[in-house]
Amino acid sequence: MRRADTPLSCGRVKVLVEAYLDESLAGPRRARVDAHLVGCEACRAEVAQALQVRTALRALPWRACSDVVLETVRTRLAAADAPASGGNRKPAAVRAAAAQEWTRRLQEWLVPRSSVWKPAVGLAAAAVLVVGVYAFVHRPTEIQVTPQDMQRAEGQVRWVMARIGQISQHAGNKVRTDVLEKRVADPAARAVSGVLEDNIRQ
Amino acid sequence: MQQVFEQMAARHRDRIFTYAWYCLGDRDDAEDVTQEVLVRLWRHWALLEEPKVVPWLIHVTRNLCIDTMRRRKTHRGVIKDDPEGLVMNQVASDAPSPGARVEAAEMGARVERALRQVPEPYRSIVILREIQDFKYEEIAAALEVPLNTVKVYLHRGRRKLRDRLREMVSDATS
Repeated sequence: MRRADTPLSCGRVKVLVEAYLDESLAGPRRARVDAHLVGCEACRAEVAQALQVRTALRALPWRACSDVVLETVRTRLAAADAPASGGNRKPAAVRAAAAQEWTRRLQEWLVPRSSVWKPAVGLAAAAVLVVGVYAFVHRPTEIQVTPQDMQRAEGQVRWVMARIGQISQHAGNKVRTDVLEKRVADPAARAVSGVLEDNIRQ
Repeated sequence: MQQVFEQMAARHRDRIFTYAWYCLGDRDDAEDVTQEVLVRLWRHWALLEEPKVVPWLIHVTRNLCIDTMRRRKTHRGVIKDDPEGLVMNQVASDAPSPGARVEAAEMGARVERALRQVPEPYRSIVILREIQDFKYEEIAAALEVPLNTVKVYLHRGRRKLRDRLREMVSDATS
């Protein structure tokens, strides 16, 4: 006997009652429930009861909220937005809107949407770093640069690049970390190393 | 801005109140929750896009209802019987005879009491779907659960509701 021809047990039908009433049961399964119901009074009663409960549930009315609630809300908001003694605090919604605007601007600034701008910002950050390090090692006072300094500087460049990637990801953008690492972080780190090596040779 | 907020509050207050009412079964508590939700809406509404307002409201209302239930420590129990249940239930019934109307109203009151004994999140899903007529997708967005979970929980919720009704009947007869 194929599974589809196997009669359903009462327990199984009880589990399927809701799906049966939703008409979300697939054809063959539904036919098996129908076949069971023809010969089972208890399950027919179960279906009838489920239908009755569902009808009663859907007939439950929406409740009307008292006007007093809105009045109280108005009073609470007026009290909350009242200026503090001597201050001129803006309403909460205005402050929230301003905060949102700043968040949006910060996100735009940190994470440009265009795929062209993403590497450009990374490169710009790397360039600033390289220039900064270059200025540092070529400052008038004499400094000693060790290989450990070079390693540390490289590490810092990579860390900054990784943070840029994380911030961008956090802001909801897809970031190819492998590309960021290979095309931005590695060249920047190499550039810093080069500058420091020159300094050692000198 | 205040005017837009007022319109929004007026538009959604019954929805919030109805949900809280059927969750908590107490007018005062439901009003407190509605009031708090509207205050929070005022604080957040500048950050909310229009299509996200209703899911946000439901999400916040549910959390506040759960907080209220926790405070009462009657998470699964009947909170308070609705003394006005029979009077307030304007059951939309086509039943022509007064007897049938009374029967439908009694059934409504029983269902309402049983609903309050259905545990979360089943209760919320049943309320949102059956009473408030939300779509599955809207419930999934408001409760932050997958769509399929909503469907499964709705079936379970209805079954639990029937079980509670059966228990109530057997308690009454024993």
